[in-house]
Amino acid sequence: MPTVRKILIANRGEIAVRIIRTCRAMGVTSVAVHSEADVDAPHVRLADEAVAIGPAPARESYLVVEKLIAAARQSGADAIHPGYGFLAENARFAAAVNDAGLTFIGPPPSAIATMGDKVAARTLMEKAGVPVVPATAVLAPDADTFAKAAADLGYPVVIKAAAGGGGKGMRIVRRVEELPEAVAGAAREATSAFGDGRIYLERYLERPRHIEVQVFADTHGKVVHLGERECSIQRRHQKIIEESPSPAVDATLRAAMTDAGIRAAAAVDYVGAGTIEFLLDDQGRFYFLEMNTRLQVEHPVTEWITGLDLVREQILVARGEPLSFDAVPARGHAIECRLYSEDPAHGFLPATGTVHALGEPSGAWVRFDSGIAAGSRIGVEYDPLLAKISTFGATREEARTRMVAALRETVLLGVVTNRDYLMAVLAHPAFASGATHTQFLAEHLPGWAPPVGRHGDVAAVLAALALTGPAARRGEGAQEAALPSPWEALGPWRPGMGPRPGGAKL
Amino acid sequence: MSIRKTVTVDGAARTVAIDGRDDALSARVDDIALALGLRRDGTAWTVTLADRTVTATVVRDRDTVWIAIDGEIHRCTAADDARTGGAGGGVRSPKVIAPMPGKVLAVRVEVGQKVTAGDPLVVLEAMKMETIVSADGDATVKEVHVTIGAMIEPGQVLIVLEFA
Repeated sequence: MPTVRKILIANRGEIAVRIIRTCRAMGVTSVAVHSEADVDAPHVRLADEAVAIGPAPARESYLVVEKLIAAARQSGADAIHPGYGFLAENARFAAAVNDAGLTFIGPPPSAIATMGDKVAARTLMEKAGVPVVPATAVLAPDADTFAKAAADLGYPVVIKAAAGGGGKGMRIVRRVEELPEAVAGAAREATSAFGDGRIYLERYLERPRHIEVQVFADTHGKVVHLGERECSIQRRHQKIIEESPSPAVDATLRAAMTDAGIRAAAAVDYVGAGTIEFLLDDQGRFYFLEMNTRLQVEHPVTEWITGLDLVREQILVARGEPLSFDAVPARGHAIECRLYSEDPAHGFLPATGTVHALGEPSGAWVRFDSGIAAGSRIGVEYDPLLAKISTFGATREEARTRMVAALRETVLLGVVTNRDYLMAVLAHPAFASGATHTQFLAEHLPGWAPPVGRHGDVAAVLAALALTGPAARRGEGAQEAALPSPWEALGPWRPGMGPRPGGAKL
Repeated sequence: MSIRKTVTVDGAARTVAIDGRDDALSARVDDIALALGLRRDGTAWTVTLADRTVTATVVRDRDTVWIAIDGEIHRCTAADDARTGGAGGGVRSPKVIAPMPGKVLAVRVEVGQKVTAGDPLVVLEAMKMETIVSADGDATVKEVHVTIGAMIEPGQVLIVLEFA
């Protein structure tokens, strides 16, 4: 049986910090890796050991398989945890780790490869009896053929290009009369965009929910589920709020979805933590979307409702131990919000800067996972996820109101974040009622602008003072400089100086 | 002390006047007169404005001031600062400025070239997202300040145009 006593974490940011914490709790030695940009990052400080793996760009550091294997060898690690992102779903990496005689904390490379291939995954899922979105093969581009197929699938339908991507050639059709023009248009657009006019038909899901099933499998053939998560609140197909359980899933649907999730995992001989993503339509029908063959960003909500530490379970499975749990009784409700360095008022453009002050939320049933601290530089090299805030409550409403309070305590100065946007979603009546779907943000918060706040006038006064300080006054007339300034009365102004970590009271 | 300043608070312009001695200050914000009390300890401020007393954390990063008050976060800049853009509208500037930090993927124009409104000038990439910076109006390219592969900061001048 593999030992797994010293783990190299092939990642950075909040997930590296989170994995290192579990290593500590289990008495496992942790090895961080870092690029030149991350020398002083929290995950490096927290780990028992750290290995430098190259320049800031990820493709020259965190994505270089050979460097990570060499770092593991150099440090004497016996296992590698990939986290999520970077190389977590790279079958070649998993194989290289195994070939080096190390333990990959994740599924076998074959499972990663199969689920990474959309067509292969869909075929396999159909064979395993996991529902996929109903679709036809490529059809002759005439209205009658499509009308017959559409009647079988049920409206609304969407015409898609076989060679497609990026929405080109796509036509949503709600009534048979719209078909002739849509078929001709889609074929024409497919030809001009891809040089390939082949088109087919798929059932169109109107405002579906994103529901996913957490599964866990050991090396002894046992596969169990840990319930579902709903992750419908997305911008640009990127989740920003997740919760468990889903307000749309009752016991019957849960049984059906988790059964399908277990069948999907078993079909690829899965090992470890995995997630099967489904779309749920308004009729209660669900369809396989894809499987994520790794730990998810949003795993804390599952930890809240099950009481498990999923990274600990991953390590135990990697050691070859049988799963210690069957059906885990879920309790209460958990919500997670992702804090991103981005500007929701301006097209979610990524924001950069220095974290000058960081107020972290705390209190009963509040968890804050982050990979940043006061002084951290937020650059453009990596994912803009700064931190995850999760809250728990006996009911959804309790978890929701607790999240609103926790977000209010989450005060980061120096970088634009989506915090106020998250607060707006949490406070929206449609969210409070559980009426969530993947078009929620486009429908309910178009043209969102930051709130004015109650203390804008105080901020204006303080800004006027701060901007009149020495750094701004340099070069201006001597007349103003001669006047008694608040800086002389109140001590020297130190531009850009944030409070020490932990010292900020916000 | 006597301060006259127009600042933007979360994108909105506010006119501020502060007068008096430290123990007897008065402030006007957008022409509303308010009594002002100030106490400071490092980055922590206690402010009394009219009948409200709040504590605030104030940090300054070059031309931007970040202020946290009772869970509110305010981002403030001097109103005359060219970098306050982004809210859209306003006067067009001959200086084409980077809207976000990132890497220059392509420079689509050269000095002397004539462009029309909407023509792409520079393609930027940040966090795997592409953004095209285009011309505000019909113009001639006067200066090009970036090259492919360069890392740029928000507010940095990319191109200078001469409008027709």
